[in-house]
Amino acid sequence: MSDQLLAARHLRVLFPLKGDQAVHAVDDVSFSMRERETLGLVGESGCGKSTLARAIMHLQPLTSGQIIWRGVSLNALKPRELHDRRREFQMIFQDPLASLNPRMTVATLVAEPLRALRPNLRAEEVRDIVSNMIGRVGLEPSTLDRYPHEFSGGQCQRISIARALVVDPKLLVCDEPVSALDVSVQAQILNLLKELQASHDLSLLFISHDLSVVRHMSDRIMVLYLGRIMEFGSRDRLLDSPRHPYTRALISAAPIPNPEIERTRRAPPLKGEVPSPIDPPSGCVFRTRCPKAAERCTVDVPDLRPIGPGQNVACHFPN
Amino acid sequence: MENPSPLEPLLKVKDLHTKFTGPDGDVNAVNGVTFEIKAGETVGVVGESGSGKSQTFMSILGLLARNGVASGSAEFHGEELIGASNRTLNKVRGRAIGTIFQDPMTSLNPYLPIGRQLTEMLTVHRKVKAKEARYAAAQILSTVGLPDPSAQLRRYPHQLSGGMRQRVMVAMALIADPELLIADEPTTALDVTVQAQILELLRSVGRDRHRSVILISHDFGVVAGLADRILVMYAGAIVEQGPAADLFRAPRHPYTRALMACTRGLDPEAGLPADGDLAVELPPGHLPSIPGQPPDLRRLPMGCAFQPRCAQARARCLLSAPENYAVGPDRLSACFLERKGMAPKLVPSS
Repeated sequence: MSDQLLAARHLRVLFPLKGDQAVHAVDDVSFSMRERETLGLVGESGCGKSTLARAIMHLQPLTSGQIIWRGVSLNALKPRELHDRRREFQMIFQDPLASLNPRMTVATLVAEPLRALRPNLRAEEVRDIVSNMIGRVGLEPSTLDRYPHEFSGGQCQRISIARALVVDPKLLVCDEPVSALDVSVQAQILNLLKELQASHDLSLLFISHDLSVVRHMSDRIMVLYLGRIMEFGSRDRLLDSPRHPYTRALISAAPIPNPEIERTRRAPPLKGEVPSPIDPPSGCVFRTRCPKAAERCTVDVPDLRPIGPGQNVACHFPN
Repeated sequence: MENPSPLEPLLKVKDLHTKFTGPDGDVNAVNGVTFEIKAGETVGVVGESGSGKSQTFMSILGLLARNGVASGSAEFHGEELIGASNRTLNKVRGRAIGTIFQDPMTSLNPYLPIGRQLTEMLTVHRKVKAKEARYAAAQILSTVGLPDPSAQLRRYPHQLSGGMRQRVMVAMALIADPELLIADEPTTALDVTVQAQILELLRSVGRDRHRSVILISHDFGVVAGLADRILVMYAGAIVEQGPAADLFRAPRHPYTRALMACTRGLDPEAGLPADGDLAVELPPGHLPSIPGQPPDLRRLPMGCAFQPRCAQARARCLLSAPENYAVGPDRLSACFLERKGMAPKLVPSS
């Protein structure tokens, strides 16, 4: 595929513990992303969303697996070469205030990635690029001389976005970018991300636990559970006709702001909670909470296999 | 005190104000809140951060931070709680009013097994003997859906998962059989599949035990399935209140409408309100949002607090804060827009 931006092959991230135990954060995850595409990543806490994002960003070493970035295997690059590639993929985080240095002005904060990744720019060029970027994320030029604590959560997230996009990346990894924001402000940031995606030809890896946010943003969606892909497919197919029992449960557990729908709600879709990733269940990791689990699920790990156009599922008994 | 007349409200709050003194000026957290909670009803309190929804109830329970001062009135069964002594408050807190907070880990004592924390509620508040209390504790844990309750009693909070801890919090709030349960963002720290379980549990408290429940949330979706009545708060004031079905079907206050549009914009299944106007034309693919930021509670805007972000603000809105207007059966909206037209009855304020 010519417009392929990134291919992840059999990514695995284990965090070793005492003895021969380990936290299985990401387990055999493979996927690819196209240019200008938004890939949504959903799952509950502890399912490996953030670890996967950090692995893609090369902020987290892989236990095994390979990341191919625009045809080149990133694992094979020397640190120097990797540094040169950093411009092409950037990340924003959940807590925007925590990810900004409180002692730096907005101008310094937004200029910092340019200084690190494009050291040959002259000071006035940096200043021009920074003030242009601040305008594009919807902030006033007067914000440049101020400090992060003077801004609200939504404005800090705008500053973080400016900081990430100032080096003109190809991929923006967004790790729960609106979860810490008020509902009325969330939409401002989501709209901004969509606008900037169009104007900058960006691909987004968009992580959220909120299915409605992911629905709005994504072209394709990947559902993770205990570090493994349960279902992966185009947004509408996956959400309108989910094939994996876990995807179905996630969709039906989300409360809908309409009492007429909520009043008819039946029993909660899943019992219990996500098991420990230290000793994940044998066979299919979801089987301990799955309404359809059978003998086979305790033994065989289901492969992720195609089950229709643009839809893949890892389940022995898909719907 | 145990048998209130069904007509008398359980909790009656009148013109409640709460201020926090700080180095950069006073924070006006609650600015004149008036409402009633009837016996057996579930009331959803919806608002964004800084709307005063938590501080309203912290004021009522006498749990404000040291620099906070509450004034006004909050009567529980006719007994004044604002300014009441700790002796009075301790009779009410835990016993007549149970509370559940967002983060169970900070509400539970990490040094005590959960059995001890549960039985304490009975031995202190209800003077129950230790053995009976232990039996009741195991009973209540099984009611909230914890497997193997007698074994759980010996465990410490850190040995439980987040969902199990929140179940323990619900059990603690219920064990003394309070008449009113205040749940402040009880599911915000939980995953959706666990949230659905806890909401189901709270629903059964209201339905099966006929207790009053106050459910505080930033999420209209969370309150939609449970609340009989909704209060919407903004900048420390109630901007709109009414029966849940009516308020969801046809929200009146511009803030309620805008906030609901934000929530529903993300949820195609929810459908927009029948008269859903979004004030501005949205480009395709764009979500409705509210421009600007929630107000700084140290420097509230002139007039109506929502006016700087309101698409329908008029000059009038800058002059003074609007009073409550009756906009239907049991419905109030604090907006000058309700004044136009034929007979918008002005509800006497306090």
